[in-house]
Amino acid sequence: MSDVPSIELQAVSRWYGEVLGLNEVSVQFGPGVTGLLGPNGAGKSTMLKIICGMLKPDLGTALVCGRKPFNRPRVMRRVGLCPEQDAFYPKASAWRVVAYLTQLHGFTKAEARTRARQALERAGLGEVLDRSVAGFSKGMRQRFKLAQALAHDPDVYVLDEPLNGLDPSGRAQYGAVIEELADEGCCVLVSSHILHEVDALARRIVVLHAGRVLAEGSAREIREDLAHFPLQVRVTTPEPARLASALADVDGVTQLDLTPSGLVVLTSEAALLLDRVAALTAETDIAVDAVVPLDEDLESVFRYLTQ
Amino acid sequence: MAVYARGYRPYRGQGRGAPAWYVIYREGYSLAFKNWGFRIIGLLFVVWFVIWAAGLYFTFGLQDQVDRATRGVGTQNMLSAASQLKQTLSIFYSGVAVLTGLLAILVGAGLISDDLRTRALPLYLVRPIRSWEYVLGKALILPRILVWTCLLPGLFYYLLVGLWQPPGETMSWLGGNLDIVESVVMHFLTAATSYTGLMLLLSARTDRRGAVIAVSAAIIFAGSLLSLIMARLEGLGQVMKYAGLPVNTVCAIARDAVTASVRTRRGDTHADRILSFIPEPDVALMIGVGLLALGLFSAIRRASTVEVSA
Amino acid sequence: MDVVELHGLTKSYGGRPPALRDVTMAIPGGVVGLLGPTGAGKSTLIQCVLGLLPDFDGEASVLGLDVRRDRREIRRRVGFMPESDAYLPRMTGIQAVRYLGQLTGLPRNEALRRAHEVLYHVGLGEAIYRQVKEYSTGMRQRFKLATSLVHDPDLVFLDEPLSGMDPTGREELLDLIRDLARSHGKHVIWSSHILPDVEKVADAVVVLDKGEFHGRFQLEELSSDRGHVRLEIEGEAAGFAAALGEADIQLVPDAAGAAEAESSGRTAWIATLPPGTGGADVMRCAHESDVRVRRLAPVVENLEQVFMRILGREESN
Repeated sequence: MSDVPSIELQAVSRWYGEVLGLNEVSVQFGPGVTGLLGPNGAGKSTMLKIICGMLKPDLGTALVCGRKPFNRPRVMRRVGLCPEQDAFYPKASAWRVVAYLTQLHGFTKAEARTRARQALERAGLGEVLDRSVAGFSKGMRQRFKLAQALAHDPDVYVLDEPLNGLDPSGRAQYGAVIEELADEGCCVLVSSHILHEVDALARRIVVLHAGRVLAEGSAREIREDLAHFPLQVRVTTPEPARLASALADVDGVTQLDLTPSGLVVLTSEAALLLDRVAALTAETDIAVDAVVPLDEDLESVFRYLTQ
Repeated sequence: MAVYARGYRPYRGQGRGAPAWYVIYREGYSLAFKNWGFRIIGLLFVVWFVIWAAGLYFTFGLQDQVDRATRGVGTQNMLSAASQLKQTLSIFYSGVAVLTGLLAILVGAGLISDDLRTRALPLYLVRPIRSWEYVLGKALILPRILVWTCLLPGLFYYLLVGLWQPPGETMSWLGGNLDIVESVVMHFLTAATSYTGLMLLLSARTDRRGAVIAVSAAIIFAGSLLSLIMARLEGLGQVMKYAGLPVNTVCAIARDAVTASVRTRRGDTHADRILSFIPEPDVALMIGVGLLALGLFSAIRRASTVEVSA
Repeated sequence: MDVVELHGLTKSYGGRPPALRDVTMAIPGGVVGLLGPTGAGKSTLIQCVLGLLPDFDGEASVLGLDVRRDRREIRRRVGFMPESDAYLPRMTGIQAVRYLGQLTGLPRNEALRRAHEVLYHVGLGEAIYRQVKEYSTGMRQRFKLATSLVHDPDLVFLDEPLSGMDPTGREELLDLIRDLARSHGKHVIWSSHILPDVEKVADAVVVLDKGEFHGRFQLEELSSDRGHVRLEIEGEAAGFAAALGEADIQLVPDAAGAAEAESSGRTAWIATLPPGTGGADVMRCAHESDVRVRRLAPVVENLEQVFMRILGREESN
């Protein structure tokens, strides 16, 4: 088993009966945080289940730290899973449940208990260790699920929709734990529907759609590869109409919209446009005071990819 | 020419709909028929009904025709026709009691517990509905089904036998045997109140349909078996006499009909001993009404708040 | 016009500390976000206002109607989309919405027509003929939204309407909520933890914490902080920085945007513009230093920062 935490899928396909889950997916995840995005039914959950050894690929190979995870407790010892479902809520106290789950990884009772306590404290549940999980709020359940993933100190983390139901400050705390894990060199995989969360957490993004990987990289890198979508830039100036007529003959400009918040330009040659804007400001009396690219963010990238 | 907007349109409809309790009752009644268990038991009921209708035909209808053909005058004796009908009814209703019990469990188990399980209660309660309207709608579903199984068949048999009386005697026979109608109606009322009461009571307690089915089946079937056994013991066993309350109470009509017919035929009190665990009909109805009151009270209390524990 | 007015609203459950403590506030019309951390009392507030929790202290009115006295009238004119994953057992989408429409007082046929209309509107397509039980999370959310709109209410309460939906679905529902308010004059009160969603649609937000009212904020006030701009350039950074320095424009590296910018070969800064200078001066400098400005955007406060500020907590970043 390799020392560096890693996940590798080699041409993995998986289906349920005739329903497609994943379709020949090859992708690698190393240390650091990676965001896993995709519309409903894109195959995110299937991918996470395969990585956690809960499903066996029908075709291809999945490797976690260099080993196949399916039905291998030794590999799973290094994987911490935070499932999406709110499934396991016995009446017992939170730290007893976490201790029990940790014992399943082969720790002695005493050690499991210490670890459970530490993990719950790290997840921000230090004050409610003895309360029953059944009475937890949605946000507390998310932290509880994080704690049970942390307790056996794995270095590969699979977090499925971990931030659902957390309030903004809870999200910030949770995000801080994820960042710490990444700094420790763990491989963290976070799936989410909420794009700005992923944007805040993960540099690298993998977009799944209809069982296939559509893109990987940072949002910017992916945007630059989507060259056939013209860039939208909002240019603000006191005299938008004059600016518009001055920009109309720039190569690549396909559309100019005068909106209340500024002139929105659609261009396939961003460099030419931006140079012209700067030149106009320097050499004429059209003063441009803001230049804002409108579709470089993750939300637009995701929209372009999945539409 | 015009192009119309495709988006949201405000509601401009006129008129008020039916009262909420009626809507709830009607929807619940039609949904009951979508259950497969319900359909199978319904089919069994129809078969059972047809068998005894045929039995009556062979006893009275055929005889009537033979009599007309041979002598032109019916010879059926008013008293014996009534007592034979009572006997038929007692056997018919002893079967119906089992089927009705099953129907009550199937339909009643989900009455409120399903809404609790699927968290539908807030969807109801944010509408202009009072909690009693919700419970009333739910409470009417089972009685409506029991109209088919308990009320109409008995009345139908009664009319049938009346029609098969010798010409000219139909009206007088019908008029002379109104006690049968009274028994059938009492039976229906007892069944409707006691089953509805019991099922509302249990269904409002939990969001687990399975648990409601288990407990109600235990009360309705195991309970009556237990009380049957206990009734045969003297002394201590008598305490358990009412263990199977709902089914025992609805059997009350059988007691009337059976004891009447058996007595006339055999004149012994054997039947009394067998049926001693069944309360008197008027006591039975009171028990039923009591159960219903309890059920309604507990369901209305449950439905008056949405403070559901998460 | 204020659609909800509360005076000294207090509600406690049993012996626990009150879920709402002396809340006095007015919620304006339009789209209003009801914000607050977990346990702030948002759901309790909605339930009180809908008359689902009768025994509270204080005064409350909705659309000018008294919550205690005019409960039925309020419920006829108000729609509610619960947060919990609610559905009706054994019914298809269309049956359930029709049924709930009838329960709000619509005649049977009108209810069916209306059910078709709102279900189409929330985008459930052919799924309306399937059992609600089989719906995915996103479809359930659409279904719940339809149940809250079937009787054409004037005011809709949405409790976490977008949770569990994928980005495409969220955008669709956001558009729909925006359209309801802007084109059809509906008032929307919307509780959510996901502030960027609220920011896209809401006109105002009210903030609750630990059962107390903490403040009201108009989103128009999220105006630009004129002094700072976020700057991203392509080209020789050092020379440009020096040129800006001469114009008295201070630069600090943009911590939040740095990695993203580097991944596409840019340099990101936060620039402080002294009074008298503007974005145009930065543009001129860039033109002279021969670098390309990819982004020159005023630093704007976002709703999340406002929220934290109202709660009196330090900013998360």
